[in-house]
Amino acid sequence: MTIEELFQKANKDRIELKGHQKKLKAVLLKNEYFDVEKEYWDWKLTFSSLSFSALLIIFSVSIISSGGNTNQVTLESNDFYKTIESSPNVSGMGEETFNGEKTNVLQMVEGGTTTKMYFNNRNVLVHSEVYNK
Amino acid sequence: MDTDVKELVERAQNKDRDAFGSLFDLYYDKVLNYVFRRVLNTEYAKDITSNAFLKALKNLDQFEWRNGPFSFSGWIFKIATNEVNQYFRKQNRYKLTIDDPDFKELGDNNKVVEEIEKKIDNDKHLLILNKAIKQLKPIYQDILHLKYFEEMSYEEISQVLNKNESTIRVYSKRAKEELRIILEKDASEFLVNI
Repeated sequence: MTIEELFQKANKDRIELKGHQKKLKAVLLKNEYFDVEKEYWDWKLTFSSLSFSALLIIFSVSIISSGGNTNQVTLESNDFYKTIESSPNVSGMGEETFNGEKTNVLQMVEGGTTTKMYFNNRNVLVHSEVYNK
Repeated sequence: MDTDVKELVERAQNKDRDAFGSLFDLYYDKVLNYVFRRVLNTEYAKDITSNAFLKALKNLDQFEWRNGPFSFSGWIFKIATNEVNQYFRKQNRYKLTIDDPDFKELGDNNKVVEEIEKKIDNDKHLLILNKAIKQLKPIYQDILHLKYFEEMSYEEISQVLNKNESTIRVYSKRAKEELRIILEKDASEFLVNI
């Protein structure tokens, strides 16, 4: 029996969850995405941008204070990565190439701000992008 | 149909609720079934599908139609695939990101869910394949599911996984070879009895 035949034998019946579909659709359609953008100073948005910037500064300072000790930098980078990765509002976006280097991308959504963070194979943050709605 | 989808996407990006609702109805079953076959758990399939659609909505403004006819389906399956892989990494720490109290109320009655899970429990072929596939590298798992369960072309898969088509072909071949080795080792008795 080939692999293809084995896949064919597996049940491919479609499942239907109409109740879930209906509720999810209703929730999505009342999402703030559809509200008209308003031109005013949004303290939540500013605060979330500032809090992430502060996090990056603390991380950078910790690298500098390590005096260039590569092992320590990697260790602290791993701690930083694990902290970010385990946050409930953070999810993985897969791999992307940044500056010719393969990176693992995490995305943090906070209020109206989306932050994409690019980590190299040693879990060192090499780049970040902040999108404000 | 591609023109219709493109038009719906453009309207949804212009905050048209009806257009997004139509896109949602068009892709809900496809995404749900893909996710369900990956995780074989109804509750997690619901959470992952919900998170994927919420993420798609929040990132809709950043979507650009630039990869031909499969642009949008490739994009939405990419989000779903990332969510599935996130679930495999986090396991029981994986959480629904929608905190609307109305949404958390029971959506489908327990009988529907029980029937689905009973059907799965009786499907030895699906269970054994799923168990074997889970032992492969994540990208091999993605490819096998997209190719053999979702019946996507290599071109579509290349868009979902952001790799070129020739790489997907090579990976697909390797994935099948590794799957065969695992099945021969772990499920040879079962395979003989088919």
